[in-house]
Amino acid sequence: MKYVAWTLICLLVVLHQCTSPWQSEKLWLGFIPGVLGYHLAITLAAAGAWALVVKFAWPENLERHPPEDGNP
Amino acid sequence: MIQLAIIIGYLLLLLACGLLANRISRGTARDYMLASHSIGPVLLLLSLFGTTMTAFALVGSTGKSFQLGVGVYALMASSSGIVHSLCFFLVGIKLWSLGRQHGYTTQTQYFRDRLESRAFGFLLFPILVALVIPYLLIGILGGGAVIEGVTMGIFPNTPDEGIPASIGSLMICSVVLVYVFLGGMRGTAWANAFQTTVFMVLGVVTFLVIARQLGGGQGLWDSLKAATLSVQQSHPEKLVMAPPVFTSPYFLSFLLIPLSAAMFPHLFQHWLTARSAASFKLAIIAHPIFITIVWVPCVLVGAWATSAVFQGEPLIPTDIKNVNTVLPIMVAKLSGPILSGLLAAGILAAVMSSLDSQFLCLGTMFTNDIVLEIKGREHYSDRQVVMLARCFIVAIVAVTYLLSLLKPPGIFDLGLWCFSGFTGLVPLVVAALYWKRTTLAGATASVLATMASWIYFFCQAGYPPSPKYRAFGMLPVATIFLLSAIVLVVVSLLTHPPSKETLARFFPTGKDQQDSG
Repeated sequence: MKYVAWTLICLLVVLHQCTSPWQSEKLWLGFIPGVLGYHLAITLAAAGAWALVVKFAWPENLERHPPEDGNP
Repeated sequence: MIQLAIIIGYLLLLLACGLLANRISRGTARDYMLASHSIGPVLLLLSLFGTTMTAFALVGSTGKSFQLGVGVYALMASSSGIVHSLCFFLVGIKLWSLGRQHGYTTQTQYFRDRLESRAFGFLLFPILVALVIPYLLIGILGGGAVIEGVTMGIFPNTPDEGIPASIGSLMICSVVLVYVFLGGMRGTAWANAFQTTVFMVLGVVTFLVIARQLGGGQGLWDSLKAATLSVQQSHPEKLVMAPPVFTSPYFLSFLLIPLSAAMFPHLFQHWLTARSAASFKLAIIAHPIFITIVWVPCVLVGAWATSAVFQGEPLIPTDIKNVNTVLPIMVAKLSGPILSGLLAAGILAAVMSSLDSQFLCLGTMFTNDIVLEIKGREHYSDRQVVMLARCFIVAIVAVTYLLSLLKPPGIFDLGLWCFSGFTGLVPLVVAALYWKRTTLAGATASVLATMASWIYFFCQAGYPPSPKYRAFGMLPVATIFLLSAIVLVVVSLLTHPPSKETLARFFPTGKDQQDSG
């Protein structure tokens, strides 16, 4: 799942660059222009993809060291 | 007068935030600069979002959409939804972990240790400060202009004047100074959370009110449809993305702009306030959703403004000089003074939620990276360090306010150049965190290459910098970023790798971690 999550992020970057919806005249829900709706969907999908990354690809050993008494 | 009362009430609430934070402060330098690493997930999400979103998210996005169409969302917002979370995940949590482990407060401290060089800090420090200052000026000047615009006509003797922008800027600087001075990072995080909530809620409310008014008093759904239909009939080009405004290379290069967040010094400081690594999870997931909530309504309103008619006349003249006034004008004409005042408070919230972090960060950097580094930490008590940071914050606020009085031309176009500079430094932080072979020479060459290419392109673009300037059909940031990365890799490979001690410190193996744990 870790690789699936990262693949999704990469896929979203590719889809973000896709130019085919640029000239879309379709209106989503009757008022959202096609290109705006497409990128709105990408942003919401990004939240979902990041949720998968957080769940399945969270790095380990981030908090294994006790904090030092270093300078503030 | 109602608008002014709302603004003053809002500013007083922020002062209360700072006072409250001051009351529960532990009085230590760690508490003042990093809120004792006590910030949980919700507060971290709100403070990170408030810090990365400036007033541009409200007024700038509306104005740009009026000018260029709804493609502005694709250009600036949906890319940030992906890339900002990437920065939090790949750079933020890793730096948080190292910061907690080694007691860092600033980026420079990390790079000095990682690259085994005090001198590198003295190279990086002025560059970071130089890139933050124009960013600060944009906020101060923008905030002053909002107060002037909203208070226009409140004095009976001078109907064409409001509170002068310079006084508005002074009000903003004073309020931010007081709550940052008193509350430090804790006050800043609380104020940011409050302000983020304010500008998000007010953005949505403004959108709904404007939609109802443009729809001619129909139901909300019909109003939304009617507003977009009107644009489709009179300005269909605003609902699509087409050359020459949008081209593939230009669009691709814009993807690099939000990467700059990985090197924002003020964001670094916010990352270090997190209570635990897990506190980042909510921010990583919810940041794109928050971007949608703020940007989509503003971009739609900007497009609607191109076709909106008020009392038989176009609501916004097509040849309007300052597109940043599109949203305030629409609110003023389509709603009453209360919403107008509230919207002004929302815009100020967006301005101040970035300004406070930047002021605090610069004060912290001058204290830690210059004074304590040169004189030695042992010469100062904790209380003296806090006082030192406060003195620097006062000085920075005073200097930037005085600079704002000069009204440097083209300052708003400098924003993109600041982001380009920070993006040019991103290969440095990524390599330092993930590539053991990164050397001091490679890092130094990369920083110098970033600065040299940045200065070259800046000179080519002229002053004030032309927003239409392109390098190889793209924004200059693409070349700067690529050059910085190539130089870093090549020079690092040609020079001696870092010492084993440094590598063991920053890239511990499983055995090292067991030993230290």
